Amino acid sequence: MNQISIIKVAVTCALAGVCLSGFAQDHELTTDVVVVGGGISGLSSAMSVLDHGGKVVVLEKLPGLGGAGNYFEGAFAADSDYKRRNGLTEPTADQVYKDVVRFYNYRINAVVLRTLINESGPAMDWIETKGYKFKLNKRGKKDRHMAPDGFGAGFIKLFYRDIEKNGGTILLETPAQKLIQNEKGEVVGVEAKNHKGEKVTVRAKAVILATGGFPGNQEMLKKYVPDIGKEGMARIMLRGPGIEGRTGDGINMAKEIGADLAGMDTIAGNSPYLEYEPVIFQFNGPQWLKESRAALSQPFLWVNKFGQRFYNEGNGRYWNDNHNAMTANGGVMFSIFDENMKNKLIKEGPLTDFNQIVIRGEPMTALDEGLERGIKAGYAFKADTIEELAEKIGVPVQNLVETVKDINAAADAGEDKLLGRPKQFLFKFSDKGPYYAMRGLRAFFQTLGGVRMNSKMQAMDKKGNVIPGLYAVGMDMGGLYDTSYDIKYPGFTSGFGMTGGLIAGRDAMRLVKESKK
Amino acid sequence: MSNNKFKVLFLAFVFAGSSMVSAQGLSSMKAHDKLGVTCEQCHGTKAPMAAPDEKQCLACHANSGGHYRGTKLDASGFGVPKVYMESGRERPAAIHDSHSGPVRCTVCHTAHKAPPKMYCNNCHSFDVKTK
Repeated sequence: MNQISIIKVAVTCALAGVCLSGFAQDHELTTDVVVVGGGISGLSSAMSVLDHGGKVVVLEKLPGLGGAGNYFEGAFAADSDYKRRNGLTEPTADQVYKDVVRFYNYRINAVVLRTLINESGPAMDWIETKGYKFKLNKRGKKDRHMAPDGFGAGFIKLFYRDIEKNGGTILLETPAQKLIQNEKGEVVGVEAKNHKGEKVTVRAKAVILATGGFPGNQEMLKKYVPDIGKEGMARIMLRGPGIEGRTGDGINMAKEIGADLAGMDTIAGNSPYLEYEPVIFQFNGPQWLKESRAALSQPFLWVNKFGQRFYNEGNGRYWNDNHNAMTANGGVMFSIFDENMKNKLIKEGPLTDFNQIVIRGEPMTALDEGLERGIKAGYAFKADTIEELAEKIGVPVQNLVETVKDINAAADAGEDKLLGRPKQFLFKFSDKGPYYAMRGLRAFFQTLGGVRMNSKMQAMDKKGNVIPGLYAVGMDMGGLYDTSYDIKYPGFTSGFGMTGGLIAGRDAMRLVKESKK
Repeated sequence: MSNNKFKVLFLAFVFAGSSMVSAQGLSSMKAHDKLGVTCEQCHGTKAPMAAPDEKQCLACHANSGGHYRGTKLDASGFGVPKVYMESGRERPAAIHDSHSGPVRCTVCHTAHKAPPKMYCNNCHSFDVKTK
């Protein structure tokens, strides 16, 4: 707490150095920059403030740091030193930009997107100066900047230590509730509450919002995201952290003082998943569950709620495409296979990856247990005939019978003329049961819309003016995505979270220095 | 160091040498009872009026940079990971010096009434018994 003056009001100190009180105490802190949210983008922002010579206070709502930033597999960056050292000179920032701007049909904030792509390499170089060693992903690919000790949590721990070492203040269980503006409209702090319900006021020259978007706010999802609220859609699950804090706090606080929002209708889906919650356990839970989820996305036969094919099953690992295809088909799918196909998975492992949780060639020895549990739970099905299976999963019997006939014919011909599933994934169904089905629902892991900002991450109002002193980073940024998330370049949101944090911290310190002149 | 504090530390030592450590367990504040810590030592008054500040926990327990970072520290004062069982696999973790940062002690080591609850297990599945 050095550097920070804490004024305590109405304090009763019963023992020397120990403050005990039956009353609420108000706390007031003064700093250069206050960061709202202690996830990957908030901690990056705080590190950047410290590196640019400032004092920083980080407010985190939850009892622990990291939020959804504990989970990402690796961060995107173009043209980083790490990539160059590993011989990856392509795709360049220019190539990536040209590609993604088409993916998003140009319905994005081109200048900010381009800035984040351009700055992503230098941002990773900056993080490497912290003594951080990126590693290759499980399949030996170097396309992302992976944490050495497991997912984003490895970055979070490093960043936390760096902030602590450099004298930053981190207040956990202290949700920000309101932005403070001065008479000129400049944002000069936040009001928050600590776990005892006491008011915590942090006065600063700038506020960086990094609260993670609004995936945990049902009301906002319904209001802003048509893919969720549309009539006839199967329910969507949130694959969030075990404890969810992303309820739109930053976006709503900014909106309250007149910030413009952008891209609010877009979410990042990751599908399909079994109807087992918390969904994240399909990612990091028991082996039988991870294998069950891997089985769900294998290239055997996927049908929609009408019992008809709708997607090239060979692309099961493209979770974003799966998600969009499922959205176009009512948000539900069934993965169908027979006894031979199941045994192939048990012996030889998955044919295609899904998030690298169970990788190709890793025998799925817990799959039988997974199917048994799934049947009990109601998301897996077993039947002696295709007709019986169709009845069990509730699709038109004749449709499913025909679909199986068609895929068998394609397997015989060695070509899937309908949807282009590759030849090596064309398997014929046995005449004899048992047959299995697993029901998949959509899941999403983050919202992609938020506060409209400029290329310095400064929040903008509806007329295009900068809201002085206010920044938005990470998933509180808006206008960088449309429709969904482009996984051709995985790690965009974490990479942009860190990159935006670096930029926002640097620019906030420019503001701080100017105000001191 | 006050006499009282010394007594607590001494008792903690004796206790740590007993059966408690062999199983990986999460203790509630009840452990203080067994050690003979009085209400006043934490609450400041004989009849407790309010929950003590976290600083009071750290006044006795902090062992590195103002935090408690686990029983075993490395040369830099960081917690050394211990191996836990998680979903049938071994997983090293520094529970008291984790990526969650300076989690308030009483989030897990609950006070007198609520049963102890392991914050990590909101996401993880560490096999840790609560006492």
